[in-house]
Amino acid sequence: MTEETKEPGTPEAPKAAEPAAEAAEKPAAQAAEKPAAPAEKPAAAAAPAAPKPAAPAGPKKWEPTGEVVTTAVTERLAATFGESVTGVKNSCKEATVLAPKARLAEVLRFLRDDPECAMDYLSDMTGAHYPNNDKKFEVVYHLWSMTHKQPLRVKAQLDDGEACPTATGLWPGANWMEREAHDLLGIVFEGHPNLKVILLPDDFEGHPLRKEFPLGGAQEEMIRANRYGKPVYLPEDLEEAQKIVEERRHGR
Amino acid sequence: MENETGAYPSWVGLAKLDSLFNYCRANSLWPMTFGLACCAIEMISAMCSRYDMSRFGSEVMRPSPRQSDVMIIAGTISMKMAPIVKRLYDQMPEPKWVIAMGSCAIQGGPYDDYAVLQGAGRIVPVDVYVNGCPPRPEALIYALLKLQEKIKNPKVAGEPMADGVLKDRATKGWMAKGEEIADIVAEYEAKGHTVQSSQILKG
Amino acid sequence: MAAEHTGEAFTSPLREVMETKTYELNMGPQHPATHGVYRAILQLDGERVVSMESVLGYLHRGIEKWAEYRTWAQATPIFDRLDYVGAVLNCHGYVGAVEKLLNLEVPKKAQYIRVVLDELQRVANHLLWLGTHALDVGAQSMLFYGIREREAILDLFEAMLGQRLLQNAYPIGGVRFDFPRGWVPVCKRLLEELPKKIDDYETLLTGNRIWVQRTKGVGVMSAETAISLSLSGPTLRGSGVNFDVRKAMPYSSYEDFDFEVPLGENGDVFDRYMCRVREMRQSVRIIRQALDGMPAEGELKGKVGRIIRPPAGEAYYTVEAAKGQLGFYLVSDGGDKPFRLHIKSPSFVNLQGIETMCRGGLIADVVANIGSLDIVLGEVDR
Repeated sequence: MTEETKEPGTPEAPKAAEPAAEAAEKPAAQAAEKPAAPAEKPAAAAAPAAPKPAAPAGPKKWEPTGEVVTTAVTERLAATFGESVTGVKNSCKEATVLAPKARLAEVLRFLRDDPECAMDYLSDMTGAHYPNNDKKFEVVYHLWSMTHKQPLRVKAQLDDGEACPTATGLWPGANWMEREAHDLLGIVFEGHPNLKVILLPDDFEGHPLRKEFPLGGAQEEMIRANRYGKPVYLPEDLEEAQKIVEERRHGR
Repeated sequence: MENETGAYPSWVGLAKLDSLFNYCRANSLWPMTFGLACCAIEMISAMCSRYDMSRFGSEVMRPSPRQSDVMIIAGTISMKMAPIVKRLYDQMPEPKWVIAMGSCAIQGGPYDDYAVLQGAGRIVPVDVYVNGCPPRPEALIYALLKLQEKIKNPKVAGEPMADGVLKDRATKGWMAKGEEIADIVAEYEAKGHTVQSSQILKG
Repeated sequence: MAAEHTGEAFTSPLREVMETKTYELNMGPQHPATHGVYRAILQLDGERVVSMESVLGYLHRGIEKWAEYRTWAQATPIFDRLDYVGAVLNCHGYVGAVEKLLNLEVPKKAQYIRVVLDELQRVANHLLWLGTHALDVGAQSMLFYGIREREAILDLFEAMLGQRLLQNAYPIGGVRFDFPRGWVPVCKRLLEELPKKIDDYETLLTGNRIWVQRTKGVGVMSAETAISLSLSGPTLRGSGVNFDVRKAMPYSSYEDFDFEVPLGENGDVFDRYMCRVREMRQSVRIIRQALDGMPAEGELKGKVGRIIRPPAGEAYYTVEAAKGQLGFYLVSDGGDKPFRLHIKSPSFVNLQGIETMCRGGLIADVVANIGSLDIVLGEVDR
């Protein structure tokens, strides 16, 4: 029954193959163009949300809305580090602070060791790419205090290519999280014991979570380069054809 | 249909032995224990209580590809996993069959992105496709029955029956670029074969 | 409790005259006991594991990138496919994060329905885990019992949500449906059955000498190490750390329910097993309370527009998933798509503990350790 249903589609199969080959080139061509215009996607996504009728031309910077939340921990931080550690606005009532990159390791160590903060549990660590901001990358730490039952978010801003101090010395659990951020975003962590590929294939080029990276990646090209196999058209010569069929069947 | 050596018509014995072998093969399929993603959980369900796939003659799950003859590709094949799936397929002894389970194995599923291979058909020849995200265990059992049908009755599946046909199909069945189906059919019929519609589909 | 292995080589007089070296053993990515496509490279000295390296990414599907190209509501079903054994909990994590970003109040009735489905999913997850973990350690029949009860729970999901495994359970803002007619009595009957069945499992395993010998004193993880490695869920609680998101940061009305958080003492495979088994009993307790205390009338969905555009900002929302603390870090730029979406997956973080657990132990215990972490590779690799 299933065989019959296939029948009408079959005569077109050889014809359809040619346009398919052409079409395969197109996404690759688009993929090549995309990195040239990194601002395209975020700007398009931000445009409908702009509240003002006359939105300023050019790329829109990412800025959080809401209010700065102060807790005992943020006050303690302000008392110790002064103005270098600033509060960040948040619309969901989450305490957030921004630490300068140079003092990030110091701030994190203080948060972990100070008995009034006692942020001994690193819940999560990640990064984000803001192509339109002055500092293009952010690293984000989500901390939790097992004793005081309080969360805190610590952020630091980085330029493209700038290295971030590692937190693996404070929390060994940051090891894989930093490797992941390095893998997907290309953030370099200084002093990390084993900063190598974790999720992507070993020979993968690029950092997919950067905004300029196309969703499809270089996949089409890889397939066209016959890395993982592609349909083979057999030659007219019988023996040669037989050889190819055998090879395909046995996977040699 | 005389044999070239002229001793006795070889196809008589061969055809019957083939069908005997195929009958046995179809009823004792050994799938490989090989779960990739979500569909693997439904594959486990199909093997365990309630669904119990062993009722249909394929209870022997083998963890090694060298001992199994059906590969159930249950889940998403990532780019990192694709060479390994291919190698596992190559390690399986002949004859071997492949069931692509779930939409990820059919065409990449929802993941139209950099990390996922767009369908198992790009690296291994697939015999039966099962749709669903994930397919229900019943669907997998149905696919297995379809595969059994295909093995028992290769003609249905368009498998070659004799040497001459194999040679023909080796060139024509794969379809050279720009060739018309009608030409092949005419050529087949000129040689005295009856051409079933299904026979020219497989390649 | 067995002493922690030091990982020192087995001493023999021959050692002094013969030069020996460790050998490398590759395990996975296609291995029946790795619960998916996990690969470990072990350095072995005889039967002792000297060191272990994990290789991940064989199921990396780029979900975080994928979600940036979908609208907030469109992206919901993909998160079921993270931890495909506990799909409802993942869905709760994501929609909860978006609701937090929107400052949206979910109606009480919807919160209670979410609690019922969440806890059912937790039981289903633990049943499958129990079956596969026992299968790895050598008790095959456990899998068939576990799946039997799990099928009953999946039937309940199917009756309510229309899908067995990946249900896409919640929309942003609440739930889609109230319980269908006749659903609650069936669920209550299952709740009466379940504790008896769990007793059966305990008869099979907890007192079983083989089981105890394979699990007690194996893969010991101290509380300090567990915290510093950021472990969560039963893996952390097995080491005696009382951290449960449902208690620590109550969400979805969990503060209304009376339940205990089971804790272990030694932090070995057996304690993690006991934690999960006792957690199933607590889940049954929670579901009972939620069904009894369910508001008879009420809205099922909060006020959420057709097009969702959260204000520019960021939110981190965590739920206690079956594997541990599942977090969603969302960044919005005010648009209709997520600007950045990061998933803190408990399996990924818990898996970091495997190297500490296995080092110095026997190679046969590697499988027991992997099983006791309850990892799902879809969530590890995302």
